[in-house]
Amino acid sequence: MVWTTIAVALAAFVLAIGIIATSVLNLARKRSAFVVTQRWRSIFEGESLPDSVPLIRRSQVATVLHVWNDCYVAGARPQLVRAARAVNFEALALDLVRRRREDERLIGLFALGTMRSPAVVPVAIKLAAGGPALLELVAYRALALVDEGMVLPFVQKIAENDEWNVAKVEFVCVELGARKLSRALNHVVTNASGAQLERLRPFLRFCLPQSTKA
Amino acid sequence: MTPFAVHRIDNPTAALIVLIVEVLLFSYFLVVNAVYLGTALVAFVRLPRLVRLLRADPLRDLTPASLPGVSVLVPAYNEERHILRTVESLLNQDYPNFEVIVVDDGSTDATVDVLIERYGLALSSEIHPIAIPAVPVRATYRSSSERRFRILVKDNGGKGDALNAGINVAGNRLIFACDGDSVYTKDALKKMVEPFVDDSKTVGVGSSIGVSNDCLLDYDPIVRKRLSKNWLVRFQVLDYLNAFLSSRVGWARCNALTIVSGASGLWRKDVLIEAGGFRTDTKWEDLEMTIRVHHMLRKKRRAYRIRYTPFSICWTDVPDRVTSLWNQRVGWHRHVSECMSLHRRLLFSRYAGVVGWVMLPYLMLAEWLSPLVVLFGLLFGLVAAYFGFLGYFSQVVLFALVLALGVLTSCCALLLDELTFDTYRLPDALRLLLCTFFVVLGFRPLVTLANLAGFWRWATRAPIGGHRDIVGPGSPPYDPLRS
Repeated sequence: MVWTTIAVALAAFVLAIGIIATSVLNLARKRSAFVVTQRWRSIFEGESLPDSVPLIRRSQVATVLHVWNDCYVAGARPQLVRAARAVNFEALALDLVRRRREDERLIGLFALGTMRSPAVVPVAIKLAAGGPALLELVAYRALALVDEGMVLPFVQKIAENDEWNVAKVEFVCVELGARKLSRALNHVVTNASGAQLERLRPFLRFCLPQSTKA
Repeated sequence: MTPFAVHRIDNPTAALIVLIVEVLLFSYFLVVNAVYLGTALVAFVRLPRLVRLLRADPLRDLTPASLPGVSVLVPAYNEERHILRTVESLLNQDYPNFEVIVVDDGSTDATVDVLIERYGLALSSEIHPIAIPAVPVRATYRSSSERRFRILVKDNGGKGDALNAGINVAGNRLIFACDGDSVYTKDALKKMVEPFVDDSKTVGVGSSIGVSNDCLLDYDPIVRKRLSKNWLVRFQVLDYLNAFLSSRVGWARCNALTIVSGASGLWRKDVLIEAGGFRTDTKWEDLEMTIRVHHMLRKKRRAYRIRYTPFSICWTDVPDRVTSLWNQRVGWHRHVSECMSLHRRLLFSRYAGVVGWVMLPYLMLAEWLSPLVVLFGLLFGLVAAYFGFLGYFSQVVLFALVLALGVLTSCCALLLDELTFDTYRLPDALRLLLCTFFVVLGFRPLVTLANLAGFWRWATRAPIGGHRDIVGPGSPPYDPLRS
């Protein structure tokens, strides 16, 4: 029992040190993220790009692309594409996608999809094959945005699984547009079972009237 | 070799009895702590990853109009001090389709008056269907300026009865049960509804609850997450972190969450009605409802999930005086005892699954019977020490082990919070770290005593204190044991 007590006490001590270290790191990370976020948000939301853009360190890549993604979802789009070209975000996002952490992969994958970068395809195919539902959805989004041929597998996937958030799928559908979606939706709906039809129901409004058979 | 070490017993029978008691006590101690650390480990593996992923999601703030409607029920009894900030925080939700229904449960203070004055409410003649028996609603007030808000006024029947009256009136298929003295973050409904949208098998969702004592509240977000100067509150902060982060995440992972908190619980209305509504003869209804839903759906062999969101979407003031903490914990433990008794047939039944075979036995050992085991252990230790069966060294080591395990479990929860939500600033985190020692020395013994009192009150059928003694006239709720 003496050794058990010593082991438990040591474990508690290690956790206590961990708490202090994590607290200090959190503080430093928050400060740095705040500065980077403010700086880049003003660039992305500004009227024109500044003459020289700040250098992005490796540790800041995820934060910068996260801000970029947020600005894209919020609707500030033309400026973002210019910024992406100026800073070569494609390379940065590819680096992010190859990292181990899922949150970093998600940020990189979303950005690459938005940029319609063909370089995303091999990684996205791998991530679309399995993993957290959110990462899977973003991988399918990237593939469908880059390659029109992938819209059909995307719609099939919507019909087959009920783990994807409807609101997020709707966002991707709007991005793809009715023209790209119509044919795929028609094809899947024609061959769908009852449960699959139920899952597809919220997205049927993306079908163009002239192409609707189902 | 026995864990307690030194024996000086000449009588072999006495020696055997002492040995058996020691082994049993030590095994209990090990099993309870091992299961707790196991759930904490699940949370460590899962939670930081999950929260980082959700934060990185660029589509996290989408709120399309297609989200299901939610009826927010706020049972209120003498809440004139808090009700305005609660309702304000609920009406401020970033959610497209919801209504807020305050059910005044026969308040004797100005709860209704402050709401009438603030929102310009007027009497409205409405006929409500009765899906669940409840004390009849005497009056309904509606606001002309805020169409999503109304008040039901009824005679006192307890929190469960007030919720049942609200369910009868609710117009949406999801019910969000709240407390009249808590504050909700702006994204509360969105976060709670997400599991329903993601998985159609979801029937209930619980959330984490934050301690708001001494925080500056401005509805969204909780402006400053500041640690209270009151030590009792600090102990409860650690206690809440332990319960909501380390423990529930792990249990929810295997669909064995036994409590969807009454302060922030989202339920499917049809499931609540099918279960017969909330019990009206108890002061705390949340644990019983959660176990009842498990019991009912498992018995009917239906696929379902009760999910958990680790985000603190609800912030509430915890007791800051020993007497109020005592009363709260006595009541909680009494409620645990009632639930264990009511749902005893779920234990080890063939349809019970992980709930009946793992979670309920754990709840029984670690929560329900723990004050008895602690009391027995203490008495045994004293007697053993008096007769010289137990050496001083063994006692010191045993005490050190209890202290170290207590510190370890609190540190687990605190580290988990630092790794995921980073709720408290560095100085506050250090203060909480210091508290981990005193939790074991001061807070836990107090709570154990209160639990013992709760157990005693349940065993002796002592009346429940407070206004919720009064039981509604409705028929007893659905009893899965009789169906």
